[in-house]
Amino acid sequence: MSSYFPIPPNIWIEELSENIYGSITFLNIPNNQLKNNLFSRKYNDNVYLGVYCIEKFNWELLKVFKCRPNEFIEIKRGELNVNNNRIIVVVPKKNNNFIKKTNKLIKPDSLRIDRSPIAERVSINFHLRESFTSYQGEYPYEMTLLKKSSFLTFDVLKNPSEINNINFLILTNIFQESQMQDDCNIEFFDPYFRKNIKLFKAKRNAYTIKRVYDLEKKIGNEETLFLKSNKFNFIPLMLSINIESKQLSLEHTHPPTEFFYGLKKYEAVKLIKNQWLQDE
Amino acid sequence: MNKFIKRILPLKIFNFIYYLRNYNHNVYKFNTSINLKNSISDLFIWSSKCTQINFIAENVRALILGKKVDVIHNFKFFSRDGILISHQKYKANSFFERISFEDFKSDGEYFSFIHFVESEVTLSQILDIKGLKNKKDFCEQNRGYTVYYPGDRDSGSIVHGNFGGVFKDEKKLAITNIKKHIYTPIYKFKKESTYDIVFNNPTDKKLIIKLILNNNLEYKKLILPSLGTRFINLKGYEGSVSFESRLAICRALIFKNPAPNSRGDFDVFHS
Repeated sequence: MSSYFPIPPNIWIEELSENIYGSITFLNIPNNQLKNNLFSRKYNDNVYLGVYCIEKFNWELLKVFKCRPNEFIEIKRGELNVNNNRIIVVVPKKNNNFIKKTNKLIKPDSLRIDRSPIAERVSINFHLRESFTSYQGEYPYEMTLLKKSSFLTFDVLKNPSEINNINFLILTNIFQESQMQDDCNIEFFDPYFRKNIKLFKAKRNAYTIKRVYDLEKKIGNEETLFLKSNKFNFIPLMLSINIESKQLSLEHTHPPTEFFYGLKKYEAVKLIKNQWLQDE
Repeated sequence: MNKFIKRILPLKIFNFIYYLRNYNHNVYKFNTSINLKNSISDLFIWSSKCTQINFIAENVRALILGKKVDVIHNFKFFSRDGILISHQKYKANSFFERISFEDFKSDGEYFSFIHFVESEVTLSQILDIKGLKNKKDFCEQNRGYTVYYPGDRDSGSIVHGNFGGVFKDEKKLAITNIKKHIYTPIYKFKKESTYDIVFNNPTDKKLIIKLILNNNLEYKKLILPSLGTRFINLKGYEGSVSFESRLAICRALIFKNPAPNSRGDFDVFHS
């Protein structure tokens, strides 16, 4: 499965009057492979990273990076001179034939050289002064083809806000077609008081960043919030910062499909989705 | 092609063919006896260096019914050599419970634990209530998140579990393959930071992991008994590292600038 790599945004921290900076780190190597033997192909391919962002209604190529085998490339959001609320997507390709302007984001190439299981990944990073946090992440190509899908997540990864922590919920959506920049309502609620539903808008082909405290304030407590949409899907990340120590933490939330294992797990997953995604 | 074959073949046969085709790359055993009496858990890592460890546990029974359900969250802890050393139980009924573990002593700086859930109302009964007739071929999977606190005043750093496939009776679904794999996290290790690279063994065989420093081709070897945990402390190194083993995916948990650390440059992530 091949993947796109979104470059995370910079996030302004009002309390510190400074940014948390977003970047990705790419390494040109298949991240999982069989050990070489006499008959196996030695990986020696250059990879080109095409950096795209949406300009009006098209994906426009901003830059191309050439990455030699076993070489790292860090792409920092701040160095691309693009408004911070616009999505920037990196497309890995084995050749340097990038289309300059397209309404359909080109398919990424896979670096895989055998059947070893793993998704193509980069290190998705945030840093603030000496603090640095990352996770191995990607945006799967197949997800960018879904015209309609549902989304259910929980803000369980937040650090308690009473001890100097600020939590940001970051929802990322990439859709292959650049014209699709519509938005949807994300409903959020305390699961014990499901009638008290609040909303915010989240866009397709965009990052949506929310301070968790602002959501909690609207609901009236700091318990775990559930968030849902019946229109399209997102990859949810929780970024936390401790204002005093500046320590950062970043992790993604598991989708409900991870709560079960086995051939027929979707039967049980469907029950959770029906429970929470259907309108009251 | 895959989609076409999937449409015409019964799911079990398709999956068996897929399993055979992936010979040498399978993470888990081909198991036809998965049922609701089982549950499998990730193999989580405990750090004795941290001042506090929390666990965020999901309650799938409550999530299915949409209301509180009484459950007992069970945690089995294994020594660095994989011997059961503690079994802790926590009553809860919420959808997600943030559990602060009781502290206890063991021989290692890092060791592993699993999570499973018990309840008076069984998962099978809950699925009956929801009208699900076909309850074969799947089971509960406890993934959860561990929160590591490196110092008194700091917020925790959160990670999900490493893939495990460990049953509550300690049987294992994860396997080793005949051929070795090389897994390389897409991460640039920095000279000025220190890292504890922690591995655990979810299989029932002894596991040998070779950690390769790709810039100077040095390597370090670890031998892990079943359910055992080992780590390598890496400092003063810049570049990528790879892990060679007979696991189809050999991922480590990496503690950057490990505890005790109140400087704010602590991080934990899955490789």
